Amino acid sequence: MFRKNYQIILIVLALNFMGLISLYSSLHQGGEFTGRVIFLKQILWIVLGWVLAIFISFINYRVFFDLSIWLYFISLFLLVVVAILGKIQMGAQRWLELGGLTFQPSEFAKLAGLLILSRFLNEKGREVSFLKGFFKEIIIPFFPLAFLFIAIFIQPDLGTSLILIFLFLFMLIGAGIEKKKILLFLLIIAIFLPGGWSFLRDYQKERLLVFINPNSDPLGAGYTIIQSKIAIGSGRLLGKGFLSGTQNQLNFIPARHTDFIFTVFAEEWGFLGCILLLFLYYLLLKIILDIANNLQDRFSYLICIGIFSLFFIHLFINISMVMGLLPVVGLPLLFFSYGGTYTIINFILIGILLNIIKTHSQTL
Amino acid sequence: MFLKRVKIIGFSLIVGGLIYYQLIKGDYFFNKSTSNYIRLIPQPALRGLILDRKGKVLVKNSLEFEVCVFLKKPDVNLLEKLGRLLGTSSEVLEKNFKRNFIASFIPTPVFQTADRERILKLEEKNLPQVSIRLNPKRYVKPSYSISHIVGFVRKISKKDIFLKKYGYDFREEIGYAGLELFYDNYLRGKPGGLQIEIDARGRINRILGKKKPTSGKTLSLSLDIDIQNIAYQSLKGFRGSLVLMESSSGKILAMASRPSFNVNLFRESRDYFNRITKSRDRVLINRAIQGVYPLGSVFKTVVGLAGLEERKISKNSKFLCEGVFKFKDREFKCWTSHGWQDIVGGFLHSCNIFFYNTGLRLGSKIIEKYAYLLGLGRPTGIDLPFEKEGFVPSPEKIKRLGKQWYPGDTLNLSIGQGYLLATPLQVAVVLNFFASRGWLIQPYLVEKIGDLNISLKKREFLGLNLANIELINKGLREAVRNKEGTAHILEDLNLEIAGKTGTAQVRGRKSHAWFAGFFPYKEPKYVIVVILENAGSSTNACKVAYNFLSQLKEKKLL
Repeated sequence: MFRKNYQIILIVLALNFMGLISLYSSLHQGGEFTGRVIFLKQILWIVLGWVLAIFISFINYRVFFDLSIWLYFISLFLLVVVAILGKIQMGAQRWLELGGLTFQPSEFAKLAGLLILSRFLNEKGREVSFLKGFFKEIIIPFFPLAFLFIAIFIQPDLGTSLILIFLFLFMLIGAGIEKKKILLFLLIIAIFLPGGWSFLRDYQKERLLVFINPNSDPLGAGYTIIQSKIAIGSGRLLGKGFLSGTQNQLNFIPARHTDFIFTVFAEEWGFLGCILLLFLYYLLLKIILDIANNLQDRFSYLICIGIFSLFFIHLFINISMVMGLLPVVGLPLLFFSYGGTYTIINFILIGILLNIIKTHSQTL
Repeated sequence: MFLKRVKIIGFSLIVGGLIYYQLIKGDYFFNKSTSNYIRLIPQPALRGLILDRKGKVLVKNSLEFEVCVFLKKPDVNLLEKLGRLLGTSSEVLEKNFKRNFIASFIPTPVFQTADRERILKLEEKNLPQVSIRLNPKRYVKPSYSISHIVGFVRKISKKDIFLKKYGYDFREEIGYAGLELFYDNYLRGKPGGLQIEIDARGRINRILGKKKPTSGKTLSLSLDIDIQNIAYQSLKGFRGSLVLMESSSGKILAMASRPSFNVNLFRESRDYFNRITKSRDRVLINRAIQGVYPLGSVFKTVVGLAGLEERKISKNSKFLCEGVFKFKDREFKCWTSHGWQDIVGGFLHSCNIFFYNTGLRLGSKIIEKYAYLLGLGRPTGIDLPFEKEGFVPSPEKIKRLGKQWYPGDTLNLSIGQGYLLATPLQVAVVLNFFASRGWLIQPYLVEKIGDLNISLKKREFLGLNLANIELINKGLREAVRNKEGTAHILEDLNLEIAGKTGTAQVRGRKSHAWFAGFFPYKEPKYVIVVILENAGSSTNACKVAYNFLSQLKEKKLL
């Protein structure tokens, strides 16, 4: 069914357009366009992304079943490299420089993690024994993911490592694993959680504490969240208009072209703009989920569930975080935030999705 | 489907959040965002000028450099460097820093100077934590002769924070004395401001609105600066005061007080200010309105008038002066034995015996009543702050002070000695009563505020018998015209002066010398009062008056 293909393409194009408008605005400061290079780069990433998506849509998604192992090891290798060679940015080692371009292996790890999980969860267990089943259906698929998780967590990139955990949980649910087993898994995680606290860097602990009471440190870590709330709220019903968001234009919000780009959009386009944006996101997720549920092939089904999960988790955590409903963990907003690797990865996922739709067009 | 439910719940949460922030609390956050980026920078208004009656500028605003630093704490190295460049000590700068500090992102003024050379040198150094501002500065010229009258301004300090309620801004200049204080409301003008847009770092982005400051109103005085300067010069070598007032209107033409100070130095040197305020000569006192002195014989005008009004004496009453007046067991002396004296003779010779008798017939209560009626013991109401009201004694008042009133005190009061105290300006008001033949006036300095003439001042006709007043006036005129008169040297001036000398005894020190008079006798235009502290004989006061008036005559200022 080609109609779903076009729907997805149209929605992503619309999101690209709104994202670029917000990025353009966020790169203004006091009425001056200060980020021309960043803006042009993002356009380049989007064009490149589309080319890649179209290209991948012609490659049968099943190759990723075999490729997933390779991609996984490449990803793990890159994460190890970034840990050793990575350029220090924002207090964490997340970036690799390749001939002037920076590359973020942790974003790539999301793709690799998604594919390796789809492969490992592909075989539906027929194990009768609870413990054996738990081991086969949860621990074994978790094993490769755990390495990625640790490599990202020690960077430290709390947001992305959490994404992997959520992705795993969502895909377990999608794969139809017994709820009892998932609960047992969560229980084990909860036991390890207090130990994890000591692995957090000070600024991460601070962010978590500030989340509980942002006014405890209004000029420090709480500053961002207070200012971003003001930005979103001050947009009111209709917004302040394009390029007219004072919180944005006067530099009150840090990282507003990346993680906090939603505040720029919300301030300038108001509640109505936000509802339109959320509607587009909702529609995209609904289409992906519908496709997944109509697929007979378990591997493609799991990929679709993975894509749905990644998209949903990102936008839910990002928007909740800028509204102060969740702690600031540093995640980009789907098709909005500036960032080469993240944009490209999302387009690769769209490409795979398009191919799945094409391959199964008879049954869909 | 579980994932579908998760999706719906997630989106509902976000939409709920948006409804709460953007719709329910939208206005609240909108106001927050506005106050985030809009700031008001006050722009001080220039204070009004003060002019003399010919329009000469007495107080103006000149420019001054203010050196400010951006520091959290005083930085010894920087302050020492600044001290060297500015020619002051780092301790002074540190003191100023501590006094003026508000916050580290607001420049803290540490030094003010008008010295262009030093400022240029400082600017060459281009120190990052130092900024230089141009400020208007009050400048008084000629400072010594009018310092007491115009007073001075000071920045509102932390101590005066209560003034905020009255619309004064922190660090605004406010009058602390003299006309600057009395007319502060008119002189200060309305500060304007810039409404600016700032970014997150507090840097100015653009100007949103501008309100021009309105300068304060100009004060035009009745004072004549040329006369004032001569008055001040005439007092040279004495502590005292000289007042020249236009008769019947109450316009002050000159009001000098000595010793004086240079009010312009207050700003630059805190030491000078401290020295002046702690001086034993009480330099800061405007002696014309804040110096209180026993009146001596000048008070005889009041006692004589009271005697005539109350019919205790008449034109023809005579008393025998044998140099001594015996009362109870005590002897009260006169200068010499004047023989039989009538009231004119009493003034001419300033005979104590005549007034002892008169005072005794009147009694202290009646004397008090007339003294108060003619303006003693209460402020004259001149437009200057902190005027002293003096003291007119009565047995009751003395008793309230815990002392006893002896009958002899009434005799002392009759010749203006003892408890009686008055300011030179009050004496001018009393003399003007005689000069204007019965009017009590309220002296004033300011004729115009801006273009508005406010000189329509209070005058009150007391309704006393004109014949009685003329009789006193005749005595006053004789005191100058007659060769035997106590103020005869003034007759040389051909100004037809009428007046009374006074020698007010001060226990343990030399007497205060008074001369108070008016001229020309028939249709008086001026009232003059001179007091010299501890100058001994009243002749000295007459000499000062003589010098003063002869110079005015010479320069055709009368």
